[in-house]
Amino acid sequence: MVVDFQSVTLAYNGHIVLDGLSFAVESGTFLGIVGPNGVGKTTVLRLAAGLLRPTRGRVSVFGQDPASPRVRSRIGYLPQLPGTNDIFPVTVRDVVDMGLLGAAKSRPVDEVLQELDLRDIQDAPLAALSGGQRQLTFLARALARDPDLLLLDEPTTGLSPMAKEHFLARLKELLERRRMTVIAVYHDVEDMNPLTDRILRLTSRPSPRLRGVR
Amino acid sequence: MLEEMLALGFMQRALAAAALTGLLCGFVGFFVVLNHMSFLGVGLSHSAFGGLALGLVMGWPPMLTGAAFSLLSALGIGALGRDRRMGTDTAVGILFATAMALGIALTGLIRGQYVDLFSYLFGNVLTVSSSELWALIITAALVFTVLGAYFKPMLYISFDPESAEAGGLPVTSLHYLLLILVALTVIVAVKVVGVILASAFLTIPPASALQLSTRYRQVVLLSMSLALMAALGGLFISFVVDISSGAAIILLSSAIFAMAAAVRRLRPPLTAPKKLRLPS
Repeated sequence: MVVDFQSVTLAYNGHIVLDGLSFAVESGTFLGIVGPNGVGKTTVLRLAAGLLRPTRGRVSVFGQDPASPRVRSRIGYLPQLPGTNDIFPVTVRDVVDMGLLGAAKSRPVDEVLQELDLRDIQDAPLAALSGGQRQLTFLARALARDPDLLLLDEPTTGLSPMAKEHFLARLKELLERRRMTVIAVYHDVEDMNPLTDRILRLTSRPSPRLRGVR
Repeated sequence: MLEEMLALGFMQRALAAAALTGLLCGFVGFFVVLNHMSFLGVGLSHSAFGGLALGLVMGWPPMLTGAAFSLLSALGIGALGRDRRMGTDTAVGILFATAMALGIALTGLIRGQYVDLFSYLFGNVLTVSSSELWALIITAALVFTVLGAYFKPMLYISFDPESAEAGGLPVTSLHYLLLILVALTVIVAVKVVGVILASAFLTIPPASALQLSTRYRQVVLLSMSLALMAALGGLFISFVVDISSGAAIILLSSAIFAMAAAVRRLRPPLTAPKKLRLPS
């Protein structure tokens, strides 16, 4: 198992966000997580990334604690609406370069830029990019690490329909070329990539549960 | 006039101290502005005031006690700021007011040393001694070396701390390291521009540089160059016009910022470099 949640409960400020969630993700699987706002979709992703610790239960990634540097060096993470600080003086290439820090493996940045159709705009300042171009840049940052596990938090939220289509098509292309395990959180089921193998549908009541769709 | 100025020993030390402080503030200030830490600079410099007053009362080297207060405040702000119910700005507000109040309370005990304390409040680079200049050189070398070594990780945690942490960078440790480096820079700047204006010297040059470039390497170099220009230019103006050197340096920095902002407004706005191509 690449990711394994065993009876995971997470309480925050006395509020139970997740209650006894169990699921496992096998190598090469694309898991989509859906559910209404506030149900804990992003929390699941942050637990898998080692950014949160469960109050009860156990989360393991590659059989280890997800907060360990060895595990983190194999993860590519795309948070929701990252890098919205527009005064930051960085170019597309600078952002992709950041992904190499702390990575166990890496891919040539030029190759990743080419793959996501960003090569022509690699020297453009981030502040000048459209929403779709930004999101592809952050995906490129995650892919530059040549990750074994890719975590995507609402990757298409806020994008125009055209940009959304472009982003999902690029993601599909690269997943067809390179097998990796993916967990993606979606706001709408319609946004889900066609490559999704399984869906984890979180509901507020009863407890979150996993459903296989294929 | 310039030859006359350069012939004076105290002026040579002042020029060296001002130049070094300008370069240091320009470099460290880049991260202060990008992390929205300007108020932290205010807090740390005012915290140093309590330490300076304590040093003068106890007969200890005031710059050392000031540095200790500034460093402790940085660590305290780091720890308190992690409390979600408080936040960094509240932590700064509490610690800097406490240290400042201590300094004011101690002022009543300082007999005949008001002049010394006021020189720290408003800065007096002309009184930099040889030993203080050496302390400044060593501090600056330390900050340049450490921040230079960790520049890219610092850039990443400033830009997107959550992704940096998920990617395996020690975000909390790096944040504390940045706070310590800012505290050390502040104490250096206090001698040159004073407690009240130190944070301005950390903020205005990088803010000016950000008006002129969208590439971080250029912004850092511009920030250091503009701070150096303001430091040396301000010192020269203060010598010629006979005004406070700290005030002259900051006023010149502000004038440079106004010019940089005007230049930016004359430029066309940034636009997306090309339209997205739909997949075939």
